[in-house]
Amino acid sequence: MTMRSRPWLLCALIAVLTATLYFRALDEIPPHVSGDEVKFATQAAALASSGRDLNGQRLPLFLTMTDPLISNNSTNVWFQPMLFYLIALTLKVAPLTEWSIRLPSALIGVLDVVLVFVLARRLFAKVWQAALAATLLALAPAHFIMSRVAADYICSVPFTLAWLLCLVTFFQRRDVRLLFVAGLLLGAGFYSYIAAWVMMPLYVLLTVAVIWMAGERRIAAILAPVAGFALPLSLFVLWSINHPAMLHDTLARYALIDPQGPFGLSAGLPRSSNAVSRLSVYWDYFNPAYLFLAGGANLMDSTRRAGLFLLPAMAFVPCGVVALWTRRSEISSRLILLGFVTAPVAATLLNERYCADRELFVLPFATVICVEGAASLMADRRTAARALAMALCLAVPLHFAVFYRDYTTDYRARVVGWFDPFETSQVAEYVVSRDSAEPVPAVYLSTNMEYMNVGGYRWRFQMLKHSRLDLWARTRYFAGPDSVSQLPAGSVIVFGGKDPLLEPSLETGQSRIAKIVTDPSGGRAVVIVRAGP
Amino acid sequence: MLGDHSQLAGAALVLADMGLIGVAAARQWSSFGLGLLAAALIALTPAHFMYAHSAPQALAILPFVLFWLLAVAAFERRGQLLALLVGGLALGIGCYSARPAIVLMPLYLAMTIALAGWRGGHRAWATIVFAFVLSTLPALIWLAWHPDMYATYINRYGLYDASHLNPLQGAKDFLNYNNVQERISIYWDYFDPVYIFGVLPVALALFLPAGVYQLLKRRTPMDILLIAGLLTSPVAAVLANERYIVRRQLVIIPFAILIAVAGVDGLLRNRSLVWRAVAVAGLLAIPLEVILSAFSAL
Repeated sequence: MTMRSRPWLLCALIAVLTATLYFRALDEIPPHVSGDEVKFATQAAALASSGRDLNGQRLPLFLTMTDPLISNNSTNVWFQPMLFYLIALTLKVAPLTEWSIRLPSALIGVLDVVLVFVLARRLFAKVWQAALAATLLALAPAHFIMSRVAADYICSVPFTLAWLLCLVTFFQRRDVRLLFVAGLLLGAGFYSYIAAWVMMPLYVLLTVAVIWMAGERRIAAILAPVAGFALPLSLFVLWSINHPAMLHDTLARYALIDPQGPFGLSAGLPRSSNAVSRLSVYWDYFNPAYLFLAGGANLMDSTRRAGLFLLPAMAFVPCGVVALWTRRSEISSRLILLGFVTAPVAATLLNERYCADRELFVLPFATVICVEGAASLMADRRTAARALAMALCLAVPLHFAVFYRDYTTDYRARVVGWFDPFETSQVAEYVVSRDSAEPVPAVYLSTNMEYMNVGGYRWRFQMLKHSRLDLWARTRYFAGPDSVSQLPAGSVIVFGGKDPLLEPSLETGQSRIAKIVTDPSGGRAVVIVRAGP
Repeated sequence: MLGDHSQLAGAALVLADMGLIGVAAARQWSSFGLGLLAAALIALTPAHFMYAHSAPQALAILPFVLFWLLAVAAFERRGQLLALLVGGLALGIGCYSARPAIVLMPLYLAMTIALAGWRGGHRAWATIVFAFVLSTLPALIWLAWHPDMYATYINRYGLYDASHLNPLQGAKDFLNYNNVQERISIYWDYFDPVYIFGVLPVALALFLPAGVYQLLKRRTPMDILLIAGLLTSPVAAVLANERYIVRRQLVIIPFAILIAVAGVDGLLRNRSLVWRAVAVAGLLAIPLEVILSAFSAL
């Protein structure tokens, strides 16, 4: 074995360990599948089987999230395409389960770890620094959590890392083709996640700015990233011309345009009236409690008992920022610092505070800053500083162990209601087994379970998982207590635990409770009612 | 009648603060002009202006902080123990001035001990501790006679349940993960630019970072003390678990202004014409802000 091959063996080892960690119990933790996950899964399953989404669109560039239980349903919710197609590819070779739909995200997580290793090899002199970068990213709670859900939050990170890698390599080799590839990656990353709509163009500007700062004056060098970016973006332009509703709906959904306003002008873009409040939102994205102790406000993004990064990063990040600032004449230092301070821009523009999934762009930059901080402490002449760096490095796996224990135990219980408050998997199992014993003429879902158009998707996911599309074909939304007497006897009506339609439906005397499904805390999640006297 | 007295006290405090900060800045940065600028800045600081009119008692802590800063600066320049004696007395007497002082003055004492110990050895820190203890002796005696006062204060600040826990148990209770997370978050919010540049003149958004940069470049003990004062200004509010409460953080004013003045100085001395122009624009923005505020008040 040559000295030259050792770093890559180390990288492979870290990747294998990461994969082991990220793939473990992927179907069980997080428990159930969230509203977004079922949307990705069911649409991807449709793409995998027919090449069309649930609305019948052939290989769409953006997917509209209409309720599959309502024909001709309309919505202003459009999703980015990347993860749908990645899950669809997975479903070509694997059956639809919680594990298979989460596999692409977990693979992206592992890819990120490999990419950050390669990036750190370019940026730092020593192999241990690259290994530390890979370890820090792999064990960062935000990265770990987001890599274990079938949602597209994590999808932008590999593009950001690969773009950084191209840019850093360009500064070493001055090969303009790398800038074109960097732009191409940003253009492709544009389709990865909604926040990329803001961040990828921003990174194109950042690319042009840093290559200018680096003294590069060749026109080709300035134009290459722009051209690279424009190429994949031309698809977006063509799609938007043919589907103007997508752009309008998306901008209106995030309050970036006001459909009622004059000329549809923005209600959400930072005008003088709300620019000030956005500054406060931006500031909070650097709150140490958020970054290192609590994480995002949404329990699905964070355990709330660990930050986006592990606790040792609380010391590494300031040291790294100081180290990079003192070497700010180096273009890579400027790039990393600019990337770090611009990471919350998308979240700020959308006026969302502590929204970790919108700010995952911070991961590559903060990881590099952490390694810079560790390196600066290790290079310090004082023994105490070096000892501190060692202690902090050792604390990384220790804190992760504490986080992981919570994630696999208490967090599961805490988050279950967030992922699926209706325990749809238990309901599906009951209905499927009931149908095997005695055919169920129809399944009715209470409209109160339709929260954010998810009810239909949740049910479709379960029916796909059980390979019971025949039951799906017999599923409708419940029209209300007045319709109970007209339902075929033996039909099943599914109500939420606190559904106001439940009591009036039972009072008709034409239905009775068949099963009560409880959540892990023992609360009533769902009541299954059987129609008929 | 009471209102007249209150307004008089407010005016007296404004004048005292202007005079003291003017002297402090002029001595610290060796410039009469910068002293005048500091005096003008404190007078035009929105929070200072408002509290001088509405609740001058909240500003009572500032002259003591400024006296202490002057004393420490004098000790730093000449090494006279008398200066530290005055500084210690200012901190001790300042404990009786406003509620945050009970937390902040001992903190400033600790900061001075660190500085004095480094600069003047054990005689220096013994002097300031002596002065501080001497001036807080009445309070200590009072506490000994009224032990329930301690519990009342601790409970009021929400540090821990002093009626059921001893200080050690209280410390353990205070340092639980969720509480630490919450307090760090509150601390961070006290530096939220939207909040802080409502307390301070907006132009300080330019001069304060410039000043911090200047001080960190130079890093004299006094520079470090000013930055430490700025960073510790929300400590009383954080301990009290109060977010965005200006009166708990009024001590930020002298530190921020002295640092901002260093920023003005640094920018005006910058070789780049752009930075000098930015500094002039920032200075012109200060009276403009006052005029705009006056118009909006009308």
